Amino acid sequence: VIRISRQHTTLTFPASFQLVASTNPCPCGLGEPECRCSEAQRARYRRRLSAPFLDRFDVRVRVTAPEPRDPRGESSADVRARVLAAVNRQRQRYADWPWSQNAHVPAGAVDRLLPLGRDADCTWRDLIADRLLTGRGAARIRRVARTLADIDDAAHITPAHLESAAVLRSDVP
Amino acid sequence: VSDRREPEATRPVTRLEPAELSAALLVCLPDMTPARLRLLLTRFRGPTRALAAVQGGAARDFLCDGAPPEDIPNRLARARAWELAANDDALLATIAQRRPHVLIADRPRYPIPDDVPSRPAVLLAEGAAPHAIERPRVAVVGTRAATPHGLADAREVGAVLAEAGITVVSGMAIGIDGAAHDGALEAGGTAIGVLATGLDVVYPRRHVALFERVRRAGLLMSELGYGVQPRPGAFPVRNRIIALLADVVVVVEATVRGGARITADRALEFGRPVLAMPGSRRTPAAEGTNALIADGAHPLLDPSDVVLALGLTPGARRVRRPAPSPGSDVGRVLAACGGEPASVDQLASRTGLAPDAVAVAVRALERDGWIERARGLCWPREAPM
Repeated sequence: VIRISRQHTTLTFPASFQLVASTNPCPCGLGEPECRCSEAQRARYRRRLSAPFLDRFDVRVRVTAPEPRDPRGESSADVRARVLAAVNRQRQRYADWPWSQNAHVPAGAVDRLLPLGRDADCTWRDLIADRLLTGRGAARIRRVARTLADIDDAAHITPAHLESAAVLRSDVP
Repeated sequence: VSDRREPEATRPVTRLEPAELSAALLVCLPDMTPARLRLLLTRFRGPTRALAAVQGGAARDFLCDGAPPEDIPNRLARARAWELAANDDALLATIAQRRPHVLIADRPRYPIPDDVPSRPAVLLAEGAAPHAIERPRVAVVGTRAATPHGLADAREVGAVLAEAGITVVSGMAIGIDGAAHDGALEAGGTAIGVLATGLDVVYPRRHVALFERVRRAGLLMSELGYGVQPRPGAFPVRNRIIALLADVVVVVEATVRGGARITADRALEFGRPVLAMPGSRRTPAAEGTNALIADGAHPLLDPSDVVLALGLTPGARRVRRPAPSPGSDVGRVLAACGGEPASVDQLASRTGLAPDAVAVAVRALERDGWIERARGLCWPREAPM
């Protein structure tokens, strides 16, 4: 929800949405290696999206143009089936809670509700140690890792899930 | 400033020799330029006599002789300003407090041979490692708009030079300059930063920590007086000092028109060897270095080429990690980069590995220094350290 408080009133708007956004990597939009933008131009372009704003995106990936020999991707129907299964797993997991998705697990409950095994905990410490993460960013990697585990129908978050979640949170644009 | 109480010593005290102190004071006069200083020292035969002349009012004739009539009021004002400043204790106090090393042309310790007329008549230097100047010196310069590859290369060249006991000379700028200094200092070497401002000005501000590190492990140098602020025209003029101080000039990444090109051109003019790191024609940051190579600069294919160019032996051999085995996931992912930046998606489709296997491999390669992740892409690095 969005709550706006002014002197006389407080307005509450319902807001539950998933924001998907895209941007070009630089003013010319070609990306490496064809791009001829100068580093200064790119930096200026990137600065328009502030770090705190980008930090609120759980998944940030660079998308490159398809290559001629790329294999055919999965069909959308197959992907949909996996996503629905993952969504159902999350509904069941959070049946006793006021939320139904990994993304909505409060930061304070992440350790308790999205626990890590011994191996995963090692990887987790590594990630925290060598990446410049905000507290928000760290919690979001945990939630995304749980979602990846749900997609794999895995009971526990594995080191690979955490590594994938970290790679999905790259420094784009 | 000395805090011993000496009743008769009312003027600030410095440990400098009279000629050095005079030279430092002259450099710091308002509106002093390298050309004016050179003329002044020639006309009055040395710093001590030149300072005495300025203090005695001789600056008027010196500045006004042969001046166009409309410029005379300006010149008279400057002469008055010089005379006042030269007789004022404030300037002396600044120098006593900053304690610069003063290097005067044709005197011992002055680092530049006398075959170049445009060499600075006086250089001021500050820093805890004056011996930095006695070692072989290599300039590492390049564009401020460097790519992640260029920055990594500059850092590595700096480190290789440091390990061979060579001082890295550069301009303290953002980009290649800063990365070269950083690599040298990180490897425990010495560095000389040549400034286009007074030694008490930190420009760019972002490098305030780097300035401190260079002060501790090397020298900051300038031909300009204290308080001189950055001015666009001063940087190309400063670049000639970098070229003059260097036994060899290395250009890592440069745009076609840029300060690094100027440094390289000056170096060629002064007969210093220039090495340039070739790059892809697709990178604007490599256009300058590729053009230099086309013009006859030596291509720098490996950082240790610099050391060989100096006729020295590289220091401690760099420990190369064994390359990941070609059959492993890690090896396949590294091979799939093919030397160019690639996205994780591209690596997955080129290797046919599952996305999470690619993620694990990418993170492992990153940890071991084989690739660097920036802007959402994986950038292979040639020689992991």
